[in-house]
Amino acid sequence: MKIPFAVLRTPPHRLALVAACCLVAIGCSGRSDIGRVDGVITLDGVPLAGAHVTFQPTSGGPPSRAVTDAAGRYELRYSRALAGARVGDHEVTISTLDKGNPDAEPPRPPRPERVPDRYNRRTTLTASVAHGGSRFDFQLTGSTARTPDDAVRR
Amino acid sequence: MARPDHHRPLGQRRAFTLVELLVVIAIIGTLVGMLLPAVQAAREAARRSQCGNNLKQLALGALNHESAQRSLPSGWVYTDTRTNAESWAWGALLLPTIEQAPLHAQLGISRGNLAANLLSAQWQPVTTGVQTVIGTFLCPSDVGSGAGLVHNDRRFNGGIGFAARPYTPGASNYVGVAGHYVVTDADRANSGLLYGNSRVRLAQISDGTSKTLLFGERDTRNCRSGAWAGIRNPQGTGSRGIWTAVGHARAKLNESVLPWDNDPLGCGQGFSSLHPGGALFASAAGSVHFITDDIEHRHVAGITAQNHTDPRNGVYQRLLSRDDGLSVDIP
Repeated sequence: MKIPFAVLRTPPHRLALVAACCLVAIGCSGRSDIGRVDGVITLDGVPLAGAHVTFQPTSGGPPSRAVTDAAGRYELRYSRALAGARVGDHEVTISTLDKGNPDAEPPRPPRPERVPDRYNRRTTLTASVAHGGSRFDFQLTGSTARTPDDAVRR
Repeated sequence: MARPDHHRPLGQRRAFTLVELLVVIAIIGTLVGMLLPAVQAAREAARRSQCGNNLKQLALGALNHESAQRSLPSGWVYTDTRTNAESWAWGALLLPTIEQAPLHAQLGISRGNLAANLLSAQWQPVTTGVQTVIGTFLCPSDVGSGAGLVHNDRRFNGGIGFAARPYTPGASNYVGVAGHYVVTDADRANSGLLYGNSRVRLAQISDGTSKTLLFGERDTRNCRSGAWAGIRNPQGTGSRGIWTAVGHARAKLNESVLPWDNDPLGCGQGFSSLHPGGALFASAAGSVHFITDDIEHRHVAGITAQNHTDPRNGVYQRLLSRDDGLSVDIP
């Protein structure tokens, strides 16, 4: 009985390398219409922690979201499996508002809006996500506590 | 006559070398590794199919309710105006239509609301009844969700009836579509099919029954599912308010970034599943659809104006409203 073992004479680590490359190529075939997006957000020069960042595509599709960390850094997520946002123009909103959860144990208290409404409810921020990823840093100014017209509204 | 193998000189033995064996094992390993995801996908497909069947059964139950009572069931029943009163929701009202008529009678649903029944002299069958695990309300894909009772974060403690007689309600992986608005006050109308004291007739679904969603999924791991029996607090926000029975259009489908109980954007108030890439919904025509995460989502917020009819609303938002005048086909 003759078995052509020629292929097996290739060193096994080289075979493993080829196999690994194939798997990586399959695994990394991400979507071309999604670009990774990250950046840093500051409010009056101070890193804004725990803010919700939303990129709403202006030409359809679901929004991408992120929450900033203690250093104000964020990285957008498109879905559970995919990081990034749709390639194209977006309307950006940044907010710290959280109505809290009175039923949580211990109850999570409501958190007020610290970002002026020109960055969320009446946003004028926009961003254009490119293929292969983009970086957007937002330097916001005028926290709500100090805005006179906001004080009147309350 | 040939000599036995072990008498041959070294190097002439008919055996595999270690390297050859390792390579064979590596190849087998690779094949199994390639096959395993396919097997898992097939198992998930089977679970998803069962999950969709349950949803279909609930939708048909709701349509039978419509034929018999001339309206879809109420999202939840608002007759007890006390804060933290437990109240029946659509799941309990549908029991007779999904072959659970004895349980419906045991709970005394036509006799009184949930909190009142829990405090009545015949409390015992009610307390045991609301803890029933009903397979029709559970999605098999929601693996690791526990014993079919609500998640710890959705317990009804704080409720009036619970204070007297503690219980843990049976879970539901299916919640009703309340509509566009994040309204948590009592019986205020919403733009969907199931809200407080709602009695929506099919004739009122002007967008078309096949273009309006009735029920959707909510998983336990990420979004803490719901309860089939009802709600704890008809006026309430929080994780034990009305969102144990219904969901709204503001939260993104399968929201994964914000905490589940973020009010109002977390998926604990919306729809989600553990199926990869989307969730199952039933339309008001009784058909079941898999809606993907990719669906256009744009919510015009605010509850003062007729925001659900705003043409800027996304496809997802349009599907969750019955009369927005912006009817779209389910993608």
